[in-house]
Amino acid sequence: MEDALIAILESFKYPVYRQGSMSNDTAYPETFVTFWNNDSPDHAHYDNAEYGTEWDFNVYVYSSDPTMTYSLLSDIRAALKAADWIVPSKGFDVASDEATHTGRGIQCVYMEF
Amino acid sequence: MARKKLFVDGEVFGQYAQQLYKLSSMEFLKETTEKALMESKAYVTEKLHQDMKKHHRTGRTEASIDDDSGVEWKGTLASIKVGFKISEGGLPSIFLMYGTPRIEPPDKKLYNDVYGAATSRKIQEIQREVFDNALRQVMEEK
Repeated sequence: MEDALIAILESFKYPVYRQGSMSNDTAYPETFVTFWNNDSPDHAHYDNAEYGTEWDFNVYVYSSDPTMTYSLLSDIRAALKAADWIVPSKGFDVASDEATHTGRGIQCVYMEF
Repeated sequence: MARKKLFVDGEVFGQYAQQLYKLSSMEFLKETTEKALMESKAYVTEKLHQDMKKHHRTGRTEASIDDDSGVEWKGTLASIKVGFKISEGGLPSIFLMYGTPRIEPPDKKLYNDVYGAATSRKIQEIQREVFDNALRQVMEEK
């Protein structure tokens, strides 16, 4: 499922990283995307067997252009929804290591059966 | 968003609400809804306090946990806030829950206390119990 998410994120042609994976000496690109898998619990049980997985990710956009932080996240949200991901909000602020960049994130969940 | 709103799920509890309304009153239904939300909040808040213990330095972030906001009504929709108050020292919770591009989210547990699937399921269980008890109480009084 992570591959499917990355494919959607990469379709926007900005660098995609796992949250926390950038080294201290790597400069932030002007605009980029990160993701993090929060959890992937069994969706439910029937006869003690899992019959689905709830893939719970966060996606973050960081940019030196605050307008882009909002607009790219909004476009990603639309693309995820079109691919049947559940995206329960329009986003929230997140911390950036660089004062030049702002960051925002969304939670997205995919129910795999 | 280190704070979110909890609701009573209409799809799950719609039937309970209708039955309670028919068998008792709008006031009792409102009271039961508020109890379900308060108990849900208490569950999340207690977990947050427990899991913040290991991050204790000044205690300021833990002190920003929203212990006291009550149920808010917008028409027939009730909600309650849970999590950290950013304006009252809760800013580090954003870092703890989400990390940064250079730092992995340091505390997955803290995130899951508020947003995790297990928490959602537990909240649904708590709310179901509150509605079950209310319905039982009304039936016994009849």
